[in-house]
Amino acid sequence: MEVKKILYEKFKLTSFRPGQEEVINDLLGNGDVLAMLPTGSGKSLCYQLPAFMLNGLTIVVSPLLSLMEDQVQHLKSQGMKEVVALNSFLSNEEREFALKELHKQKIIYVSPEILQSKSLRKRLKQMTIALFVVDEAHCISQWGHEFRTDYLKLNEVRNELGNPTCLAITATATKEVQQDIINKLNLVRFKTHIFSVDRPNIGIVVKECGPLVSEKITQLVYLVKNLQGPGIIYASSRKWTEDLASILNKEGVNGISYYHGGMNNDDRLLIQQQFINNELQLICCTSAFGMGINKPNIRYVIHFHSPLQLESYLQEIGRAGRDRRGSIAITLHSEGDIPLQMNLLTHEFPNNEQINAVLEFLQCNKGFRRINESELLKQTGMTDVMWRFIRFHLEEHGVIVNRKYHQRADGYDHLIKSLEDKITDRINDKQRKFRRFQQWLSDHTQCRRATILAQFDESLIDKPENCCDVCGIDLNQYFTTESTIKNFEFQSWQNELKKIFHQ
Amino acid sequence: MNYLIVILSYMIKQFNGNRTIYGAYHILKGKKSAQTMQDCHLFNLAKFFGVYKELERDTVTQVIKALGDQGLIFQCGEQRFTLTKKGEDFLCRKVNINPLPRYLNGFIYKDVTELFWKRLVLTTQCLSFLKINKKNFLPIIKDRNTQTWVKKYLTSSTAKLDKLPQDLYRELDMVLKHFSTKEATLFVLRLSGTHRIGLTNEQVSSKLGISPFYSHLLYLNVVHGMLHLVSNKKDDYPVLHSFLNDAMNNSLLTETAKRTFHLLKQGVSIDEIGKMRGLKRSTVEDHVVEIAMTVKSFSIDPFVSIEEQLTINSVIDELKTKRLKEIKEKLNNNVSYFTIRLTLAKKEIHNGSKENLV
Repeated sequence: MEVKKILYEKFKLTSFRPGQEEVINDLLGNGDVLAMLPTGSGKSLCYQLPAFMLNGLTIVVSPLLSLMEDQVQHLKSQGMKEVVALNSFLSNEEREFALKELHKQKIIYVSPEILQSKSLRKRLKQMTIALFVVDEAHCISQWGHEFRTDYLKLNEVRNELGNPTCLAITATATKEVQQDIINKLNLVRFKTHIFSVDRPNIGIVVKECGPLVSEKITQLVYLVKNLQGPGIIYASSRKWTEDLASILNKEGVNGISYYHGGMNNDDRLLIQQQFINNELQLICCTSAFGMGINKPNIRYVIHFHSPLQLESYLQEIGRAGRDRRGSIAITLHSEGDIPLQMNLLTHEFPNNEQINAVLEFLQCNKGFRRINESELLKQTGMTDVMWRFIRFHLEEHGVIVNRKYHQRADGYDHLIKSLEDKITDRINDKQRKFRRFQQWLSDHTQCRRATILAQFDESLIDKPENCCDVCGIDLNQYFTTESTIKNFEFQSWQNELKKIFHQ
Repeated sequence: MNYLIVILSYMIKQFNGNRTIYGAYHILKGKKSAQTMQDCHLFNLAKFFGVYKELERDTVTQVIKALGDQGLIFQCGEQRFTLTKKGEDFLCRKVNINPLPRYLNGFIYKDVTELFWKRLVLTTQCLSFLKINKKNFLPIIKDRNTQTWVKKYLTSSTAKLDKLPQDLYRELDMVLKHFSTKEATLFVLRLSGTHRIGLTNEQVSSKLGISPFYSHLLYLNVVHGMLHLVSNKKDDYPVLHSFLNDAMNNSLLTETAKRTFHLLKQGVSIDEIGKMRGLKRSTVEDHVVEIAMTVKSFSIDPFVSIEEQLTINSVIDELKTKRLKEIKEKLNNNVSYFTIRLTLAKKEIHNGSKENLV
């Protein structure tokens, strides 16, 4: 009863979604939990609610900065102010202030890197830790789709904090990844709550298109003009998101915008909020869009370019239909995209030249107390994901200790070789996943839902009526019946200013 | 790219073949180098300093090619151009239709612009919601410093919350009357309220049927104009002025130079600063030059002896040049570039390019 009361008081909700209550009850009983709940099922509530009931602080490890900040803003906007995000983007002053005020908080969101900070760990050790939450726990496994080396150090941190109750939670983890999570976090006595990855209210369609891009565009225009919005279109590059938005715009589709990581923060937030507030009905975006966005009424997701693997696909289509009403996911599949996508795969990892450039940088700047990481990224042209990858391996070999570079007497040939081997392994693994997903896309003989579930060792028990294109699905059901977009009427700037300030 | 052609033609006209086109590029990017900052004053282009931070070299190359193809410019040296007669006519015509923004002043307001705008946007959104007693909404500015500032501002005793929406409304209504309808519209559409989220620059530009770059310049024109009007008439705009109080101080310095300045004031040496901050000596030297160019009270004596300053100054006067290389050669390479740059910077700020001082 107590739980339901808090649920209403804090979160203004009257009932749980499947899985939430079970996880919460176990955590309240001090048991470690491994939980897999599908995207859009309210994972964060599983730890946010106990955090406000338990005595002490809840630590939430989260891989993405933007995700953390979104969660914090969201909780604050609901009136829960005892929440803070700690990450490497805070200035020293801000960090010190946050540390000083830590005892006032109920939840802190942290990046895995910042947990390596000695001052933070020292401070945390003085406090009662109620829960240690590993969000997006699949990042701990190199078999998962977003392996993050820093996640491997989480068990050590948890030990140091006296092994507080642990929740490892994810939306997509195969059996293999689940086992890896258990091992790497050293979970011994724990409960598992694994729920199906299936989202029965999302119909799954793959449309085979020829090698010509124009064919895909024609399909896209047709679909967008007819489908009931709001919708999301995923494309593989920034340029494409802009081009698609402008093509659709010229075709007379309004309330559309593009969104990608190259835009400035303010514009990204404006577009995101316009979409959530139904002032836009369509977003053309890269995979940068969607994380941490809580919009219940997304009716369709179109993949203009298919993602590189099944897990990403599930995550992206999972943004549709969070209100549990009928929604549709359509992938425009073309063999013509494959070479480019194979290329994208390898570009996630540093190449030979970049590895050498990093070692050279470190050698040139060896006098400094700490490695200047932003300067390093600038000079070597690597992404931060690549750098973290290299850094982790250099740390393993003792070349980097506490963010400081230690020169090796015996040269680097061996080190470079082992790093290259690691990279080759990872690329091979990604390619394996890519081919497997491509197979799924081009297989028009087996039920798509059943074959997805099979990859998670599940079987399809309740086949929904609108299952997939193989089982037969009538797209007309998803065509427009109502307008969802709020139009605002602009008269004059004077009037508009009055409206803003309610004068 | 549309209006960029006009701006670059204008800059070429001002340069009159004395600087390469990349000199214009650096001004638009707001590069804080001695050369670029000096060029701003020499060629009367300070208004354009840093107004197009995202500009790419390739874009400049494309514009130059387009101007050349249309016979609007004449190449007079390596990457140096002048306007042809046809080019002059072109510029004249274009500027008649879409005039150069009149209040634009990147040199003075470059760094205050964003801070002022963010505070204004977030305060406006908060007041719009608070006015109808809604307390739960997602702030449209994520930036932590802005959020902290607005929160402090709204909860401080000076701000009277019940009167504030009306006061800010009146000030904005009054100040926007100084601008064209197009400019005021563009500005107001970018603000957020309870009834809608603000538009991005690109959205505004397509709504008004102008190029994104021009609408960006017009937006800057409104903000810079506001800053000008508000700081000259504090009493007429108490609310808007309160957004600025701590901002104009040292505002011309980049964040990183501010930190170096802070350490210098504590007596930390250049080399030590480099070590502490993980920066190269040359980077820290750039900061020192930046500080010397910006802060009038900053003394360069600890870095350059009075004697050296006198020698360098006399060479500058004798050669009538600001080219570092010539000065250095004249002094038989006995002085460093850093020494010359610092001395030049000090000389400039004392000669008092008025615009340099806030």
